[in-house]
Amino acid sequence: MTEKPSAADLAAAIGVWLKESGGRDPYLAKVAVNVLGIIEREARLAPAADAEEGARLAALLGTEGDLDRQRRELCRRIRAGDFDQGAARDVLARHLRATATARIAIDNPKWALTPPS
Amino acid sequence: MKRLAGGASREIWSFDAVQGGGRREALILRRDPPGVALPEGAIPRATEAAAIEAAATTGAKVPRVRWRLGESGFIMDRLDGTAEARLLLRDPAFAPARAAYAKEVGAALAAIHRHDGAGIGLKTMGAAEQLAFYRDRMDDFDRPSAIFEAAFRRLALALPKEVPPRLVHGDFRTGNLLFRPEGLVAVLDWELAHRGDPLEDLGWLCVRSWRFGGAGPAGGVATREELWAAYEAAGGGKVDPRRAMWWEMFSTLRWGIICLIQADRHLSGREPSLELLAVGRRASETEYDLAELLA
Repeated sequence: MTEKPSAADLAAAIGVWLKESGGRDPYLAKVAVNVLGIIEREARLAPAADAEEGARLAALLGTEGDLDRQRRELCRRIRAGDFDQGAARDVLARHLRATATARIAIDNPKWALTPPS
Repeated sequence: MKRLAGGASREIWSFDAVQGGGRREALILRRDPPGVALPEGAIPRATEAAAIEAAATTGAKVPRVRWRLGESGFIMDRLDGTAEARLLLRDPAFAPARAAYAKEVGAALAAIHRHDGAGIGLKTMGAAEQLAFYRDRMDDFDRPSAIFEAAFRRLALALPKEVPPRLVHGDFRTGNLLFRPEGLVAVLDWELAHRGDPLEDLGWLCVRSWRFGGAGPAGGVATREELWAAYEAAGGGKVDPRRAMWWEMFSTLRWGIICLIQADRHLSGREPSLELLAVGRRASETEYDLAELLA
């Protein structure tokens, strides 16, 4: 996973906060509940989401590799202008929509329900 | 005296001054503790006070600056009202404020942009400069994002022509606008003021993250077209929709990268905070919005 902050970072920060403050601040308790929700959804949803993203990336790039490397390769090619125009641009746009939708289902599912622009 | 939010490095205090005869004055002190480095992009308090006074001279609704305290602080009037999105967007009492939103907010922006921002120590930061600035920030983090890359690419290819710089608020959004039920009271929080393209302020206002679930792109209340029309009617320049949408896409990307910057304050060990770290995952909200804007 290239997700940053990672689930491990998030869990560690909740641990430190609970240990140091006893978890009493009601605002931070709400933040912690939200963050635990992210960790929970990531554990449930990320394996399938990553597999689907990996399959899309293999088709898009024409190369195989682990997810992190494939993601970096796509970034490199976008930056180089490989997806600026035509069909490549449309295929990329569909991949980005699918990736963003899978990601928001983990990080904040309510976001996708807010009125579109 | 009561400390309000303002982050670790910058202080905002709310207090009442009691005059002879018992007359009370509601005031705000904005100051920086000595020796603390300013957050990136932020201006010294004296410059902030100068920007507020500049905006007042061209008719913007702003708090009156009362006393300047050297470079690092000033005192201004504390005005009555709320900056809370929930009240503005959903409280029945605020229906008149919602009805007047586009007109008043458009007029406030037009008034700010009537000032060219020159001569008060503000930096000029146009589209190209800002895009380069956030490009560098993105490259500071090891967090590959195809969506951010695609947005950078699209924005770089469609870079708008530089325009003569105007005074730009720099953080014009719900949360920094003070309302009473009957309407807009004042534009607050000028610490990111600079000179630049006035449409930057309109684009930033329309980022989905400041809509708080409301339907209208402009602050969750009005449509873009209503905002643009009100801005033009109040004497703001003609709004080119393509340039405005460039700034909206840039602004969405900018907020996404700010989310990563916040998380990095924790991850680097500089400022351990669960809250800052959690903001890092809000970057995917802007990725979701950018994927939509890029389609």
